[in-house]
Amino acid sequence: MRKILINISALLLLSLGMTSCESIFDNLEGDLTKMTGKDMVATEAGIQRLLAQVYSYLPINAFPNTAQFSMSSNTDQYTMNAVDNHGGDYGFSNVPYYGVNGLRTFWNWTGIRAINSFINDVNNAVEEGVIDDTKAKELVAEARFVRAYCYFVMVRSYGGVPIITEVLDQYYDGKENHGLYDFTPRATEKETWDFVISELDDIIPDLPESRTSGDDEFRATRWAAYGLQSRVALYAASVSKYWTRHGAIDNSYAAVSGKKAYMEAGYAAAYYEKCISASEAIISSGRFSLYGANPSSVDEAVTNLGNLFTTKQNSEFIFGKSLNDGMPTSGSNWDVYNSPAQTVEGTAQCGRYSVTLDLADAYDNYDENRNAVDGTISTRTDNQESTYLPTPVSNFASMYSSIPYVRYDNVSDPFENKDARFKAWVFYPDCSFRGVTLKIQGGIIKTDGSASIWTEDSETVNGNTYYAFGDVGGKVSGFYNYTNANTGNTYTTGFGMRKYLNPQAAQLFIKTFWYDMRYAEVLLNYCEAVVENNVTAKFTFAEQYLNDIRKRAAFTDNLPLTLDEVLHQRRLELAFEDDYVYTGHRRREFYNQNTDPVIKARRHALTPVIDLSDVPSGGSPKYIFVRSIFFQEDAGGMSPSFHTNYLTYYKSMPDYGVNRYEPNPVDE
Amino acid sequence: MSLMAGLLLFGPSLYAGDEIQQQNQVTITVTDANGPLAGATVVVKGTTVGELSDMNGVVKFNNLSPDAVLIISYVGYVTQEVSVNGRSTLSVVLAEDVHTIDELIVVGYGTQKKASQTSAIAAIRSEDIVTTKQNDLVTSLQGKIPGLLIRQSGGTAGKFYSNISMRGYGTPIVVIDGIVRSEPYVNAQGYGVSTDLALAQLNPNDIESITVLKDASASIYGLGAGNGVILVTTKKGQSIRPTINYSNTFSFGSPKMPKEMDMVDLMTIDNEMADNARYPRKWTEAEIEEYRNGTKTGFSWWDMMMKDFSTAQNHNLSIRGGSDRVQYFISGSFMNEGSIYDVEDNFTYDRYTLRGNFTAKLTDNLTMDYQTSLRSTTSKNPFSAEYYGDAAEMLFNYIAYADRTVGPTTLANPNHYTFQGDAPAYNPLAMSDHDLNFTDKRGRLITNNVNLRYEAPFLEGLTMQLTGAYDFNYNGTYNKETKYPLYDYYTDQPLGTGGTRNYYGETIREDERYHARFQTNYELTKNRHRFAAMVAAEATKTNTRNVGASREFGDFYTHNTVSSGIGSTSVGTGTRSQTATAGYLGRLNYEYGGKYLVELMGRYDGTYIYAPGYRWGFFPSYSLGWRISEEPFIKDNLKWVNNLKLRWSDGKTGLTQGNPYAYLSGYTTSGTYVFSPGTAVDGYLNSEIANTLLSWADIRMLDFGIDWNLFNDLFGGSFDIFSRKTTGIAGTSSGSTPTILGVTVPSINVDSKQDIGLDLMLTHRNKIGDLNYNVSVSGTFSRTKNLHVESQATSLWSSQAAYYGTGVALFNAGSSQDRWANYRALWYYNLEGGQFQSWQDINSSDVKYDASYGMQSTLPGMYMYKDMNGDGYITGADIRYKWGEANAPLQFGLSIGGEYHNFDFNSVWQGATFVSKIIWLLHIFGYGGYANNYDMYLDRWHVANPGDDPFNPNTEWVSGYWPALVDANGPGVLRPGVYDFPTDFTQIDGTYFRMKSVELGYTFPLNALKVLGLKSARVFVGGTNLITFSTKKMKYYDPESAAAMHSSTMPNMRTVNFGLNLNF
Repeated sequence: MRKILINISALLLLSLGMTSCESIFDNLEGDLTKMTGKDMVATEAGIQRLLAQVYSYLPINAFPNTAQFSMSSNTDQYTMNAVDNHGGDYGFSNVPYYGVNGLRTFWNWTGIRAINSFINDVNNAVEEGVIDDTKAKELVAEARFVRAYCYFVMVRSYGGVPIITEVLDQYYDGKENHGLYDFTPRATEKETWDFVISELDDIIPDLPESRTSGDDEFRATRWAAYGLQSRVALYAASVSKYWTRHGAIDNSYAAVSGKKAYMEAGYAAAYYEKCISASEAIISSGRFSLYGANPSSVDEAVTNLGNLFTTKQNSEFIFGKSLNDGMPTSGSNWDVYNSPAQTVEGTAQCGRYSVTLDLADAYDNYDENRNAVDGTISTRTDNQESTYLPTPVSNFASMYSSIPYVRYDNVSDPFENKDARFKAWVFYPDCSFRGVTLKIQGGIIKTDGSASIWTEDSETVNGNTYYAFGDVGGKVSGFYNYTNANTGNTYTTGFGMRKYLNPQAAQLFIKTFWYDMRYAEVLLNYCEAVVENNVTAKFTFAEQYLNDIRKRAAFTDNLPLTLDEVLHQRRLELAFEDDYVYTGHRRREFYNQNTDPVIKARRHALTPVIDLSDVPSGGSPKYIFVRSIFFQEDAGGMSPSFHTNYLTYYKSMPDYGVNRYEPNPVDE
Repeated sequence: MSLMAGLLLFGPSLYAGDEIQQQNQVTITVTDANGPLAGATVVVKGTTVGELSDMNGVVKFNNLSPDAVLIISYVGYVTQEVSVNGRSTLSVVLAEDVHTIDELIVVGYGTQKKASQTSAIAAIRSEDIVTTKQNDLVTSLQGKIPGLLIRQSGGTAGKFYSNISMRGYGTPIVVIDGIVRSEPYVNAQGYGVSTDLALAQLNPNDIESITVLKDASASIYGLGAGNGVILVTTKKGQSIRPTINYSNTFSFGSPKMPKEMDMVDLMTIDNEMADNARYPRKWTEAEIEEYRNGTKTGFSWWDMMMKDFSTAQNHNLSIRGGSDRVQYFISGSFMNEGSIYDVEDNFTYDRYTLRGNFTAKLTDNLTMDYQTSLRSTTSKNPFSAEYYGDAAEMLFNYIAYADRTVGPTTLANPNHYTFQGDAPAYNPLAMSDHDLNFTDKRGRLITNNVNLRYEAPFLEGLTMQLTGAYDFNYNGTYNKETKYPLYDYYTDQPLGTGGTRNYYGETIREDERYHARFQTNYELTKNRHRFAAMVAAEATKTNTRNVGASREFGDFYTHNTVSSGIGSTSVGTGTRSQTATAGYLGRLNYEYGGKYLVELMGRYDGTYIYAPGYRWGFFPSYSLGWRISEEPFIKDNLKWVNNLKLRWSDGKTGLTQGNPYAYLSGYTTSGTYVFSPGTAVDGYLNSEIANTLLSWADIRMLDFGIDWNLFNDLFGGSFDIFSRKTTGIAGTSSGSTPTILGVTVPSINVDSKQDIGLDLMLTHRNKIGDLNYNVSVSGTFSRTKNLHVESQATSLWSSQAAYYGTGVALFNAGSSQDRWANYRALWYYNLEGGQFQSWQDINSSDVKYDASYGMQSTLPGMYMYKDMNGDGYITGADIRYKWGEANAPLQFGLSIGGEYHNFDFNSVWQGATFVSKIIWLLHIFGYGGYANNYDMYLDRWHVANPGDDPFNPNTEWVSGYWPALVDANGPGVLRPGVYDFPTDFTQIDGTYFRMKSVELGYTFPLNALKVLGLKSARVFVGGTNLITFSTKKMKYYDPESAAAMHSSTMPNMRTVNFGLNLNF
């Protein structure tokens, strides 16, 4: 029996010894889809990959082409400046977006975690000797810049949010997570704004003063931080000052009483001061100037203002983003989608965003001395320019004869004396682009007095055939097939957006750069802060900066510094630059659902109509210009959705349930 | 050359030697109670010289020692030993072995006598598997093994879509010749097929037996065995003169399809449906008249695209034999499954298998087994675009879409495919043109294992084994797409294009498996004690590689090679992964007097998936048995009780879950950013938390069983009641994890569920005159209850609105806490008295179908929903639940077999209940959703005079079974929102009982065969799925297949088979 036991034990040991416990698991390749944190910071190239990830969270709308950030968000679609032609594509007709709906939001804690983690990684890399201290400081400053930007976008949308500056993994326990809940309380709105501003203060000394073109020129500099601070401070100041503009939100809302969604006018002065000092830092650095500041003619100004957005002008560039990833077949279709139909071949999608008549009217006209005069486009001899034709297709034929239209010789005549910025940045009837004269015309009055608008029609007079759309259907850029979402592709307001389009040919993938911050904005921020805070000592400078901007657009007169003029110039100068909707938001300017008249919220179109009713023998026809409501707002514009519910100035607070936040007023 | 010469020279002399030895010839005749027994094995004891008896039961030996002892055996009979004692003729009568209790059954890491088993283990032998002629082995097991829930989901050629679930737990692992060789396959496309391709694609003729471990006995396989284990043992050689077997089967199948309407009915009803939906009519009277008077004839795409029957064939050739030192079994098979679609070179599946199993006695104590196999498969199908799912299945849809007024090719040119109105890009004939597009697949599986067995001479009962295995599995997928013109049927002018691009791509996947095991067994019997022990250590490693490449061809397609495409469109992919597992295991059996049985097992198992320190787990189990029939009070008093045993087993095992290496948080490419124009830098993101919290799910399996055998096999059976509790299933505490953490909340071991159920098997064997017959009945019922679902327990925080009140939330709650999971799977509306009988009914209804529109589109014959909560509206709150469409939780089987003289008969029936069948009104066999329509819908509510306004309350209606039909695809949606809601009319009781297979065989009398040199010959004729009983509402559909639900699977085939089986 003893022998048996010995034998069995020996065999048992042999069996167990055959594979040593863990060794079989040790030689596996592991997960080849992943890199460890140690691998990532072992080289500078790895650190650069992590930095790219950090920057990828920047909530900047540069020519977006995704559903998440509708491409129209750069084109002021959510404001009175522009419209999305194609309701069918983006749900315009079903869900009218207006005002605060256009705000870009940020709620990406994975991003915040990645940024916080990057700061740890950089410090590890210093310990490992991969990079030196100076380099590390700069990298950390950049990460904090991006984080400040993210928090800025959060606070403007949600009010106060939790301020998280570390990676929270260690507090996750898989169960009740009490440790994590210690971090979830929302900071007050003011604390959050102050956090963004103080972060920028902290990092400014660590950021480089310049970056060379071609060598990481789209990374943050000291001036980018100042620029962001100028913008953030102005935002915080405006929100404070105008928080009660349409009546304060009831204190009974938890987020208001807890000051999570709450500002007061008393906070404003300090923020305006901060905006002024940050802007002054940039102005006094002497590094920046307006590009083409002193044009000798309107034409030169038009050329300069066009170039400004097609070629990066370093004198005006403070911070921005590039979409030029070197890949010929990837990226945003922004250019081709926005190009006029006549300049696009081979794709069914173009001409998608139209500029409203409201913006076109806002651009001033030059008088003979290049002084500014009211630019409202003259269409009627009785000057009733605030009267708009409803549902033109059914009304125009019967109504046109009773309206005293101005009859122009040329379809481009009403725009002859417009601001150089209008001509450089907006398509209008018969303007020329990419070697083509853009046909933007929408109706015809025939020799017998019958008329049609927005439908295909033609008549031959004196051997010339005249078309309702200016040419046969497929060869025009305006109004043709306007209701069809997929094959319409023409401007439906009489105007198109030109600011960033490639002047040579439509680009399937836009590769141009985007100014997130340029010098003109800083000047305008400064002007607004000075005038709002009534810093009389600085009025002289502010007035000069305001007129510098006007001079660049070939105006010769000097206007006095007024808030109206500052805001007017801001709307014109920064049109389509992702600003107007935020200006409206921070100043709490959107139409109030409860008090403003519905009609104000409609956006408008201008339809050139050729008039053949009175063509003299051997003469040419005339043109009249019909003001009407943008077709998609004809019916839908009556909807109260086009007006802002005051509560929605703070967006719905994401995850307030699981994070145990006070919900925002709109959530209650 | 010289070798040949040598053979020629010596040949005659060897023959001469035979002549001399014939004087010592011994002739043995083997019979049973009915007469000669063919195929019995006669082996000379102490050697491995042996032979099979011929048709007369005769075996002849030359040169046999006069004092030799012969061992005569035959499956199902008691083995006998006979001494020759110098006789030249012997007669042996074998007795049928009713006490199959002594049979050896393959279990985990060994074999056990059935009598000694204490666990829920079922076994089936080759003969009982091959009675069902199916190309999918899983389907051949249907209705035969209690505990296995099997649903045959569809009839598409070359698809292995029979779901297999052990006791409702899920798909078990598959062990072939001692090595885990599972190839789990899950098709989540709507009908959730879950099967195992290694099992499904086995050649049934190579199988000796299949054993199913249903309870804690599976835990010897450690992590992964939580759903039980299927053990397959292939045939081995025998020490007999070589026996050659050839068999074949030819099958002819057709699915059950509803009959489509003729053109005039179709057009009339199209218009009627348009009227009912307030759409413009589709056809003018003049157009209909053209079809009515025969000027034009419509096309039946079903007729054009489908053959009357599909064909499949199966050929199998094997040779089995050996000497006392070396034995072999070599087999090869060819199987071809043809499509029901009437197109060439497409929808096919071919399989070749080759197997060689060799046993060699290297020394007196050392035996080596070498087993090798090759499986080669090729399938051809139309291109499968990911977003359209499986094209081979989807063709079924496209046929239903097709425009019946135009043919597949233009009138002028039979090579020009026509443009189809309703689905322009998909002319079904063009789609299935293999020259234009395909997704072809090739698979090559090679398995090898070597086993060295050493029987220790120094200690009787001690054996040691060393096993090694290497498998290699290659799978290639070849995709071609082209863009081709489509033409107008009448004018032959191009109207559009089919396909989206010219493209060719290949992907290759290689899997390798290495396995090594050392095992020691010891057995000791002393007096009334029997003791057996086994210990083993094993390790398995796998490598997987995926490589893919593709290119586009612009407007000029050249050849089916990637390199022929345009270089700049080249896309390449490649991934690699490895796995490793290891385990130490042991088992102790103790038996006293054949009455009291104890088994203890344990496995210490490790997996690479988790972090060091979290990899190893111990999984013990025990089982007890009491053979009451061995107790004197039964044995002496109730002699008709041959066997009565109580069993109890209880054990732990585990199921691995979660992603491997989740314990390492890692960085992967995520965003990109451009720092300098012209260069994008890939960002790397780590968006996960290092997770060592998640481990495997713990499973505890309990089983109580009774086995009995009465009156010498006249009545036998077993009954089991079982429970499996799974705790620590991966779930997330997303409801209690703040989102500021910034990671996708990792899974933790938090959820739990329980399965309970019972298995029953009843057997009966008898002999009446010359008729031998046996009957067996089996049944399994299993239910799953979710005990805890953490994400739902905490969802109150994340969305209070979604948790309360709305119908959607109630629907989600179908899989929620503490409730039976499979019952609440399907939602429907109760009907309040069936259908609206008149306008008066509709107008006087208290219930509104839509809060905004009321009932404005409701027509007579439409269903009256029951307003369960009485709020006056039909909303989500009125939804109720019933059994889901699934692999049914209650299944039953019936097998009947018998022999009468030279005839044999076998039939297997199988059924299921507690299951529903979904017939969406808008699916392809419904109405209103697609261009075609079916005869059954002629029995519908409709206006008495065609053309009358259906919405005029004075219009006269004719009643029918179906409601008024409504066009569902017109401009805008005017059909009432509730038109296609599920009700009792659309979610039909899916109970069925069907003849899965039937076979009638005839074995030729020997005299007829002698001239052909045959030892035996049998021909058979049979079929599968030929008879089905189901509820009345199911009469147009196949109740078992998943076809109706997502309209994308061919219903199961009903086949007729014939074939033969020859032994040389």
